[in-house]
Amino acid sequence: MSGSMLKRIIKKSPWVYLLGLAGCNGCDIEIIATVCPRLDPERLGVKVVSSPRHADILLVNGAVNKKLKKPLKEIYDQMAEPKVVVAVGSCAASNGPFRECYNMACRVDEIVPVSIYVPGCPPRPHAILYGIKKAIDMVE
Amino acid sequence: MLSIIVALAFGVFASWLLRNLAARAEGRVGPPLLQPVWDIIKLLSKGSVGNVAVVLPLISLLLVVFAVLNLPFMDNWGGDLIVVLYSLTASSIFTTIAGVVSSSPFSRMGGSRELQQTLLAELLFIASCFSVVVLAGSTSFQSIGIYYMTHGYNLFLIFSFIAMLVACQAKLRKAPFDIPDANVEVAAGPATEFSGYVLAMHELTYMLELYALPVLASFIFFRMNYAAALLASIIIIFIMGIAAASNARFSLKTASKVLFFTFIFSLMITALIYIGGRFYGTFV
Repeated sequence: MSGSMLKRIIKKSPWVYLLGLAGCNGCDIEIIATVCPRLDPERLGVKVVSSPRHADILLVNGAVNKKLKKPLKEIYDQMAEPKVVVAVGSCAASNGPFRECYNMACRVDEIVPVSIYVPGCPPRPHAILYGIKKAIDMVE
Repeated sequence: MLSIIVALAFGVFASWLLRNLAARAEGRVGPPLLQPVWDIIKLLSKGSVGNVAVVLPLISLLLVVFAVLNLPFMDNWGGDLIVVLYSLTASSIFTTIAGVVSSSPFSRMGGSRELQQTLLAELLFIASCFSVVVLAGSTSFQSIGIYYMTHGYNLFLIFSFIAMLVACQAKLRKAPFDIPDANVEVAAGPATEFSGYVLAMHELTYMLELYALPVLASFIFFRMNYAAALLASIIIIFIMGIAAASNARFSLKTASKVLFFTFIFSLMITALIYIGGRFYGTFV
C-alpha cells in the first residue's frame, strides 16, 4: 500500500487518550462535553481509548507538579509512533494560575513535544474539537 | 479462503453495527461504515511498543480462523461442532493468558476477570449447543442438518436459543457482561498492553468471533441455507447491540449468578428434550 494512501487512512482513525494532570478539573469537564453526543467526534473516527498503548493523540490538560512529571513522560513513552500531543487549557500551555505555586515542576512542553495548544480557561468544547481536528491533520 | 473473506466482511459490518447502535441509543451520529477497516489498517501500520507475548494473540487469532473454516459455508457442510467449540474456547483462553502474562496490573486483573467469566460462559454455551446434539444424536453439522430435514423443528429449542444468546453476549464481552474490559475499572482489560499490530490481531480475533458465534447459533438452531443464516446472524447482532446499549454492567457476582442459572435452565431444557424424545419417539 502506498505511503500517501496510508497517511490518509491514519487520519481517518485517530484514537485519543485523555490525561488529566494537576488542574482544577474544569478542562476535564469540557473534554467530556466534547466527546458527548452534541459534537460527537466519533463521526470523525475519534475513539476515546483507555490505554495509552492504543492511542495516537494524547490530550493533556492541567499543570505539571513534581509528582506528575515522571508519569507524564512515562505515558508519552508508552504510546506507539506516530503520536501527537494536544495541550488543552491555559494550565497545560503555561501552568496558568498555578504558575508560581511551590509544588509546580515545569510546563507540559518541557517534558513532551506539544503540537497543538488549545487556549482558554477552560476552552469551549468546540475549540477542543477544532484542536483535535488540527492534530489529526498533523499525524504522519 | 473465501469463507475467511466473507467472515471478515461480516465482522466489519457487525462491529460497525454494534458501534452505530450504541451511538444511536445515545443520540449520536456514529462512525462511518468502513471505520473498523480504517482502524485495522492503521493499527497494522503502527509499530508495537512494550513487552507483550506476541505469539499468544496470534495463536488466538489462528484458532478463531480454524473455527471459521470448520463452520458450514455455502454448500459445504463444514466440520464438527466439537472442533468449533474447542477452538473458540481455546481462543478466549489464549487471549486471557496474553493479558495475564503482560506487565500491566490492569491487564492481569482484566485477564483474571475474563477467566472467571469465560469459564461459566463456556459451560452455558456448550450446554445450549448440546440440546441440539441430543436431538440429532451426532455432533457433526451434516447430521444436525439432516435431522432438521427429516424431523422438522422442535419448539423447545427456542429456549436453548435464548440461553445461547446470553452465552454469546458473555463470550463477546458486551454489556451487561463487559466486566473483563470495563474501561473505568481495568483500563482495556487483557488488551491494555497490546499496541500496533498486536492490537490489530486482537481486533481481528474479535471480528471473526462476531461472525463465528451468531452464524454457529443460527446454523445449529435453525438449519437454513447460507444467505438466510447470515441474515439471521445480523438479527442476532442487532439484538445483542440493543441489549448492550440498554443495560448497565453487571458485577462479577451477578454475572456469575445469571450465567449459572441460565446454565441450569439450559440443562433442564436438554433433559426435557431428551425425555420427550424417549416417550414420543423424536429422539434418534
